[in-house]
Amino acid sequence: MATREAGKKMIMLKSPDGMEFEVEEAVAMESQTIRKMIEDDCADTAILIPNINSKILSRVIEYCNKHVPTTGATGAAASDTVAPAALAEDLKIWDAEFIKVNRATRFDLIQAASYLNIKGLLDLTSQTTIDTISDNSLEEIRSFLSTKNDYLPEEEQTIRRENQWAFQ
Amino acid sequence: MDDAVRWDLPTDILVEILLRLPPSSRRRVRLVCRLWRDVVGERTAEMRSRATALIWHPWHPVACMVDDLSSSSTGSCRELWRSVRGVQLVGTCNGLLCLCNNEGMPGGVITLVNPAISDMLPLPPLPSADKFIGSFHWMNWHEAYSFAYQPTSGRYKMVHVPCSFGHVCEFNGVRVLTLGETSWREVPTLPEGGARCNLGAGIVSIDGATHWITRGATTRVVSFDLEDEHITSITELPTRAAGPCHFHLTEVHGRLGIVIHDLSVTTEVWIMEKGRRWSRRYSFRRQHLPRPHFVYGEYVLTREESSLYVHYRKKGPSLSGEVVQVGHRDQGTLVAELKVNYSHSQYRTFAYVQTTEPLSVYEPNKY
Repeated sequence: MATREAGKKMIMLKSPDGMEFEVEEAVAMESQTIRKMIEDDCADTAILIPNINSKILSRVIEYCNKHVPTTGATGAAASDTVAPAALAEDLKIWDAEFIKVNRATRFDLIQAASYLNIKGLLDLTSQTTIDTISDNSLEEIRSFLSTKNDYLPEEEQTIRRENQWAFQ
Repeated sequence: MDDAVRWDLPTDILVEILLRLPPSSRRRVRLVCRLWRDVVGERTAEMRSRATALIWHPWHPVACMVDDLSSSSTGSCRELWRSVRGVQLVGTCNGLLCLCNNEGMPGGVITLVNPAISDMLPLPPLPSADKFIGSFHWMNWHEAYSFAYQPTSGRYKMVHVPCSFGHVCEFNGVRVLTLGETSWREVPTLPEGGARCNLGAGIVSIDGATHWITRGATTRVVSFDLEDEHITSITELPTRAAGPCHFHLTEVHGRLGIVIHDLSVTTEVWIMEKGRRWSRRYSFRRQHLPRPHFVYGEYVLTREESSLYVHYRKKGPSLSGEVVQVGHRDQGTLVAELKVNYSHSQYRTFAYVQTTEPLSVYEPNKY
């Protein structure tokens, strides 16, 4: 396992397209999946992250870097010097900027966040889709998600009736 | 839409997203496609909640929920919500209660309640009702409202039908309020003052339409489409009733139903099928039906004096054409004892299912 300045433990993450990313262990452990691997001692040299290409993985690392609870050189929490509210506000602005990506990237990020089990990133990346689903007509949802209505008219009728909770 | 950007997220991710939706939205998106329906059905707890009966005690006034509708029922009920005097229950939708305070002002004051999470949302007052100030302190204003859910858009709407209170307070046209909006819309009906509602026969909103029965010489069912907001059809009753007080509207398995008493001891229930055709589905002899809801899935409620009984209808929705018969010897299982102050017939029964859906999302300033 590599080590770097200030004695911080480093972890190597590998994407399937051959890119390697050296990250602080604390940052990598924002992912519950990686945390478990480290805790189970399965992370000796490098961790291969399947299904997540280097472009997406680098963005995930960027997110984790920003969201890892920061500690100063002395080990004191950074929140001692910066007001927590200001910190949270700063994170919110950063998140809003981070999520300004196209739909394909957003879906890739959802998938990555789900696989790596990073709750904050999953919440952030899925919110836009959730809002879209909540606020739009069925036809708009289908068009947004490129899915087709494959129901027969009778089936659709049945579901409409079932959907009125009382009548199952 | 080109196939290059197809939605190809694994089902697990779809589950993640669907689990984060509010409950009623999760139900609605079952209509998107088969995959979504299956995911909601198999991977979320959404479709496992079953509706039970809510009993509204109009004098206390309090809403109680029947714990168990099955034949193993112990007859226990749980208090869900308690209101102040003068408040009446307009109806229920997806676990939300629509209450009307008849004493507040002419036209009543509407509040939505989610009793499961003690959430309340006051709605804007009915326009033009204030011109009746001074005429009447108290009327059954709640009878002119219906609380409706549109299964395709997922929107809730309040509907106020054309009607007259004591021949003094006349409401012409239909008034509609979409939840989340700040004001009611007026939809004129032709002719002026036409399609006036027989309030005693009830109003039923189901599957994107609000239905009521006209009063006067020609008794018909008027259907108002909630999407386009206009009257789409006027249908004759399936059979002649003994008199103007001998029928009322109901909901049966997600369809409009009408309960009709003849001059003998028989009560029949007809359901409106596709093509606005009536079909007879239930026949009761010497049995009283609680109003307006008496069918809950396979359970059928009847009332004898101050007791509610449940009858078990055989599995599968009664849509194959047979008529369910309940004779006067079929007593059923006791599910609830009503506390009787006045007339038993004034109790109201509705469908209820517990939901965690917050009402705050329908506050007008959210839009």
